[in-house]
Amino acid sequence: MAEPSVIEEVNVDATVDLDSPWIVLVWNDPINLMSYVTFVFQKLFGYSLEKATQLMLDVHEKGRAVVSTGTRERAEIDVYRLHEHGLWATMQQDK
Amino acid sequence: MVRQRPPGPVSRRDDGTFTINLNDDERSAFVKFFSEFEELLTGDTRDENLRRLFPVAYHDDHENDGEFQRLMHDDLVASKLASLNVSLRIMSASEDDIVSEADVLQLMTTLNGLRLVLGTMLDVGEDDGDIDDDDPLAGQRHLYEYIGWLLEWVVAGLHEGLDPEGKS
Repeated sequence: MAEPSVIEEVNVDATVDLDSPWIVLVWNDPINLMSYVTFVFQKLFGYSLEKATQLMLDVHEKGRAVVSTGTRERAEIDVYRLHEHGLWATMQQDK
Repeated sequence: MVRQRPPGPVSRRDDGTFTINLNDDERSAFVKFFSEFEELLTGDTRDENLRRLFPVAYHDDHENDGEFQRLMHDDLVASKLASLNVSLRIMSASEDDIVSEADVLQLMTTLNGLRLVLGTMLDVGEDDGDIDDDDPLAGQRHLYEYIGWLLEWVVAGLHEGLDPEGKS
């Protein structure tokens, strides 16, 4: 348990932190097919073919891409659904 | 006269259902592969070859990742087994059976999962070249390519049912 004095010291930043959205990242993997990754982005997130293709290319060429943003609960659901589809997805708070 | 293109292994029908155009030998082979995949998933899921099926959810955050895995891992295993059951049913049916889009989606995730496991076993990389038939793993590499070929057709068929403009 944190001491009360510690809580007082982190007040402003902690408030900002709590309000920061969570991001879901998909990481590059040499096995998943490009067409498959594009389709999964369209199917799970309702993205257009153009946006899904751009995200897939970002994953492929830059190593990762942010595919969704929102609350922590939303991010956990998105990560789970991406894992169901065999994509390497992680979540973290956007800072 | 218009020459009709020979059908691929996955055909989307006008009503949005599908036929999977594989012969009995090909279907039997997939039943065998899927059954072996099922054995892996009902065994120790910490098997190194399954790591791509169960990735971390929190990067560099072991505490939160442990909690996520504690809550979600069993559901994820169950989800993959449910897809496998549907996929086994599809491959156990006859060639002219009609398959729903929902079931083809399950087949897609099973094929991709199997490919992830095989690719992990083979240590597949980005720039792997042609298969060397003297390679002792050449048979498995051809199988990896074959599963990828079918998966491409499944994805292409499912893509036809999506609005390219998206839904959001």
